[in-house]
Amino acid sequence: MDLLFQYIGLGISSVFQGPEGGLWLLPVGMVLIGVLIGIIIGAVPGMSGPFAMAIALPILVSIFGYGNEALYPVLGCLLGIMKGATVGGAVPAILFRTPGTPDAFLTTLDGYPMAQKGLGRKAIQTAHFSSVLGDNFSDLVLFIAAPAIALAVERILGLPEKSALIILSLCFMAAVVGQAPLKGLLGGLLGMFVSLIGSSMSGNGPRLTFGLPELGNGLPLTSAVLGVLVISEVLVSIEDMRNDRSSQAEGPAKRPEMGPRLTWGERARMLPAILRGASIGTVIGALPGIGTTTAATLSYDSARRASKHPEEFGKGTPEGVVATESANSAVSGANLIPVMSLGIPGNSAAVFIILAVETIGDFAFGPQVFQFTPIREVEGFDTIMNAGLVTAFGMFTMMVIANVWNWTLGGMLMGLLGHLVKIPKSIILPVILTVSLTAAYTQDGGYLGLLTAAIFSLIGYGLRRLDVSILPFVIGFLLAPTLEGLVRGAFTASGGDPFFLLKSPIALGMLAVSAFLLIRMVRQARRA
Amino acid sequence: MKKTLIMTAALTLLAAPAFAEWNPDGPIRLWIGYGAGGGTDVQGRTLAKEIEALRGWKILPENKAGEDGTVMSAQLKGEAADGQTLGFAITTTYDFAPMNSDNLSPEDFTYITTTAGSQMAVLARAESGWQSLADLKAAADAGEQIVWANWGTQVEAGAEIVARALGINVNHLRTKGGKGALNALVSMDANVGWGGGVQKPLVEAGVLNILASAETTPVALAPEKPTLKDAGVDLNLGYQYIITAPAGLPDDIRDEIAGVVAEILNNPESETRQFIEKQYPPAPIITQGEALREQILTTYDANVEMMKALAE
Repeated sequence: MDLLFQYIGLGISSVFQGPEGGLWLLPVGMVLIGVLIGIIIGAVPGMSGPFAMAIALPILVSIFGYGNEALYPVLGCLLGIMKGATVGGAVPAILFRTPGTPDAFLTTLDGYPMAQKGLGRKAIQTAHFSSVLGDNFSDLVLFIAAPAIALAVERILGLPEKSALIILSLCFMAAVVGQAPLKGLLGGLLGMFVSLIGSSMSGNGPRLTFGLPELGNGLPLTSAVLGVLVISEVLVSIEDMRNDRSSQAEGPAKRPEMGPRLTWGERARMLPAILRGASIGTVIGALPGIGTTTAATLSYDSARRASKHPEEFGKGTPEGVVATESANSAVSGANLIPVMSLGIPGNSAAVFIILAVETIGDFAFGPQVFQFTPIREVEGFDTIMNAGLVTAFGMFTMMVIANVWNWTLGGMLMGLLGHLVKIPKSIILPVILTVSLTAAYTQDGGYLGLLTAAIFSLIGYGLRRLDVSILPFVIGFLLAPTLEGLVRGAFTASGGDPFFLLKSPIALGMLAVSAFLLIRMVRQARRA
Repeated sequence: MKKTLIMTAALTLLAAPAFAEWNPDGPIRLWIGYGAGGGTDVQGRTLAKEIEALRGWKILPENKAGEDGTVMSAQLKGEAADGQTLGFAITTTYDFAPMNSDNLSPEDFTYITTTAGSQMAVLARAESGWQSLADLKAAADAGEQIVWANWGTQVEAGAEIVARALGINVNHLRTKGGKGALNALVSMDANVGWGGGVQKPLVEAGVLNILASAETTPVALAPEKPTLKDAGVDLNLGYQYIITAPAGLPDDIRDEIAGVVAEILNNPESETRQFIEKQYPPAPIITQGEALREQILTTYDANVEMMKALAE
């Protein structure tokens, strides 16, 4: 127990202590900047948290570099954006019925009618209160669950079980994401296929590189992810803009009357509903692939069913705002549970957190992070400890700091956001395109990076136009090397046993569930 | 105006001796053949910083990890031999790994200088209670399945040689770099593994035990533990960290770069030297120029023979 507190203490102080040992406020400041950007971006319709993270990451890396000391400022800013965006999305949803982020769509159902009734301020404050509280709740769960799961995984799961776990996560993700599970599965497999390029881990040289030595270590990661997630979205948006130019002329909507404040009594009465929404959001968030929208929908439905006045839902009841906002914000913290304990990303925001960690310094996510190595000082050498664990607790600390900023500045800023003018896409899109392409060129292998980004943006465009969700593709792409390493390891460590994956009951169980999910997906597709 | 011109001319003349030796025309790219955070990476980046400080050359380190450094060396081979693109990897990258590639040979490179030597050792988790290779053999004979963590083809062959000498059966687990091998040991995916130097903190913390040294002498962390040779296994897996360039680098550039590195490594105040003294004790190993080239080529031939013998 002492050791735990020692590590927590070190983690907290590592955020405030610079590389030279003095007081260091840079990470705290970067978290603040991140939260501000997040809230503002969240409030701009058409922009979302992951989008802002995608653009911020290359800019941050070019400012702070790749060294270990760059990790906190960059991660702090990204975490801030992630958290700020969940709060900001509600404002335009309530005032103008245009959700700032996709997950705030359900907030329009009750938030907008409330604003129309002259209760705009109350609706916004309700959204802020339940959103931040929901987020805090899921952070708490993350702080406890991530180390616990990681330790259990490390103690109980060997190589075959870890392989089976990743197969299961990929199948699960394909099954739950998007409208057509089979398409999700195909997207995931395609992602895994392109990640085969490069290292084969066999010692027999690289594979599928078309003779290009530059591809020996695989496709440039940042360029590929930026291409498929961000640039493809830009392409789709440009096409959409061209197709409906007529509807562009919309001016900023008129700001309705704001009305009275939210009282403390009302806040207290919301608590049980917030707790329910946050629990739903946390559970959904911890599962890979299911996003904020699902969490908000489930929470809204269950709130309506539990309510004494279900008929008021959709007509402007605060309960509706509480249900959606507490749930969609609770997803963001819980999403980091599989990321931090297993290295498995569950949504796009998590993908960018992983990307940042992979690009910068030597910290990496995974069960080894939560090894509680006894802290000992050795004469003539430095202190022996698990530096990864300190970093993990440092990350938790920055999340708490982001929450503090969200509580204080978030509330103030949300009140002001009503004045925000819609930024036209014709300005945003070129900026995004320029930043992403520059990042691909400068940070990720020059022309090879550009080419990769271009090809992946076409893949992403194709997938989007075919209504295949992008997430399984990206996650398959990111996880395939890990999976291959584990499967290869499990195979050779078993001495070449052909049934190496089926020898342990845990692995067998997970594979059985995966098979069940696959069969179900195929059946569903047949029926449709 | 005239005065300024004369001043400039005088300054140029004064400064001229400093420019007599070779100076790069723009930044130097230092390609590190292993991943971020490992021993090669930390050493390469520290060294790059100190060369910059000493000479004012701009050095851009970049990781190109994979396949025992050959992902990096395969790209290095095709670059211009002008001293502006250098590789930082280990001798294994040149004196062993080209064997597995149709496109690489030890003749493709100019060997500039080594910086440090490994502390190659056989490791086991302290929990297992194994103190020596004999304990390992006893456990294997008692029916325990032995999984050996290796980061490359050469060390995997080495593990096989040790296993055959002990008369035991081992299964192999390929990891990403030396750090991956340590992770595999700690997370119980393997029960024996190689460590080239990064194991130091974990051995000192009492998490891992050293069973034997795979160098020609005992390793500094466990001077009482025998070498593999003492234990009856004829094997030396020691390697050095090495800076290279594409083949055909002019001798004056080669010697200039080698000289700068030697100057840094010989300075007791240098951060790189202190890192090496700590992680790869006792001191830097500086072999340069022709002697180094000779060493690589002979070791390559010896390694080819070793693999032939193993295959039989």
